[in-house]
Amino acid sequence: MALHVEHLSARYGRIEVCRDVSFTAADGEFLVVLGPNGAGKSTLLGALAGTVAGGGDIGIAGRMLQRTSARQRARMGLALVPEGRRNLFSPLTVEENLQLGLRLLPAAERAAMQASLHSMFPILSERARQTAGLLSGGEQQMLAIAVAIARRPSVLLLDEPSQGLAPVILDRLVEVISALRAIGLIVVLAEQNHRFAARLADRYVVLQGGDIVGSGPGAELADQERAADALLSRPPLH
Amino acid sequence: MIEYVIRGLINGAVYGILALPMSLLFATAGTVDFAIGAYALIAAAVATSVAGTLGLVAGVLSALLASAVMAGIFALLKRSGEEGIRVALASFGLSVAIASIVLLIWGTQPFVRPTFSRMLEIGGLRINPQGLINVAISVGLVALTYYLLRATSLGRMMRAAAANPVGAELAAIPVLGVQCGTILAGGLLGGLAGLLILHSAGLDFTASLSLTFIGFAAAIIFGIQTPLRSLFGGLAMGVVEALSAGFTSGMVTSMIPSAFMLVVLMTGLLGSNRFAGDRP
Ligand SMILES: Nc1ncnc2c1ncn2[C@@H]1O[C@H](COP(=O)(O)OP(=O)(O)O)[C@@H](O)[C@H]1O
Ligand SMILES: [Mg+2]
Repeated sequence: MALHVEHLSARYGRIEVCRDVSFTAADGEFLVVLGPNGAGKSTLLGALAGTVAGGGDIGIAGRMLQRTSARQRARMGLALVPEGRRNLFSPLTVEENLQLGLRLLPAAERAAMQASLHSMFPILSERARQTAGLLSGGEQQMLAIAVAIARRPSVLLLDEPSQGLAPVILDRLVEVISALRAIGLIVVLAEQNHRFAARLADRYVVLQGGDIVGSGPGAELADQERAADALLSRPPLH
Repeated sequence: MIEYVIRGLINGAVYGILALPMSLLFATAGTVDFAIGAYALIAAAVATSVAGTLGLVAGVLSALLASAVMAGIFALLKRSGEEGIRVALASFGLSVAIASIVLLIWGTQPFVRPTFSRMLEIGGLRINPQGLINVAISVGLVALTYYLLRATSLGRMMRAAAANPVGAELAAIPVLGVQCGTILAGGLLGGLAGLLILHSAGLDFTASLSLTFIGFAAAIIFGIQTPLRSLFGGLAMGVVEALSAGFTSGMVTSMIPSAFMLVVLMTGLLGSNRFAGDRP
């Protein structure tokens, strides 16, 4: 099922942000895209999801995605949780947001998926009838992830889920995202918070000025020096 | 006085039907379809030319067809990234074109086909029974729209597309389809309103833009967000219109909706693209 990305470019109008990005992620792998603010992480994930214009080859499980719309990619197994959980519909209730995610599943599988989401995120059943926009940041992030995995994607793209969340909430978020390993999906996590990323990464790549300038096993991120290096944009020495 | 108010409420219920698709489209696409009044006109004109119940069906179908043209224009403009004001201008053009076609085929004759020859006497007030039917149908359509928005998958998708178009694409919601569907709903509702007017006050080829303006004013007077507010907006416009018709000259009456629209456009009341149907 792996994700293959080759020579990916991404641009806003004439401004090219990513030029020639290539990487792969194996089944069930958690890949962290690490980079400072403005490195092009969100642009890269947007180009993968189809919300940012771009070129190059994107393949999921051998199926090629280029020249397809964001909507088609969503149907082909790609799910993006954008920065600021902008996949949520804030005037709709928690339950309605979930239903919109569930509707892409075959009808027979929806109830079971809903039940498992509710047990994974108990807060969502407690707040089912509340407007999504009124949830706290942490709760919104849980809902945003729940909505994205509700349609059982094969690749989940998470854009800075740690942003603006308190440390206690981050612990819970790490638990939740780690639990996604059981589902076996590929997770691409864009982060500048290397401590948070270190707790989830199987492997990381460092993005800088729209290019991949380094990579390594996730365990390396626990080593603070190296992570700081990565963020200060010096490629690690290998 | 009370008679004017009641007459106004009865007319206003139909204006509510015109306001409904205005607010739905503004919420889902952030634009305005100025051809709504023309859908009403074409439906009424066609209905007079076909006998019996079939005329009503033909009228609604012609309005749907006209709105399908608008939906096509919308899709083309959207594909080339020309949204918002271009769409509104195009719908203005379509409205004028439809009025011209009606003038060409049917001439300047008024379209009016009273259902009832006798007025109801209620507490000393003379009321056209058709007016009561119009009110019932308006309330029914608002309730139906509200149900559709709140309780169906389509309604959820409409509200989602209205609240967050990019998020909707990410959720594989066919945003363009939802928006074009909303324009078609405008054709359906506009056509129905035209038929109700045909069977009560009547209209002629000049009515299309003034109906649009009234619908527009009704849609925004209480905020453009929700179906129920559209109905109340329509009722309010009806009452204002009836009172000014009763106590001032006809000139003032016909100016009210356009003056209202001018004020709204100048003060930027329309600025916030809010969601539809979240609350009644
Ligand atoms: N909508 C946009 N239009 C033009 N340039 C943009 C847009 N969004 C981001 N950029 C530019 O692209 C670069 C990468 O931004 P982004 O992908 O948001 O970085 P990151 O997510 O790593 O912080 C930045 O230089 C930013 O200014
Ligand atoms: Mg970003």
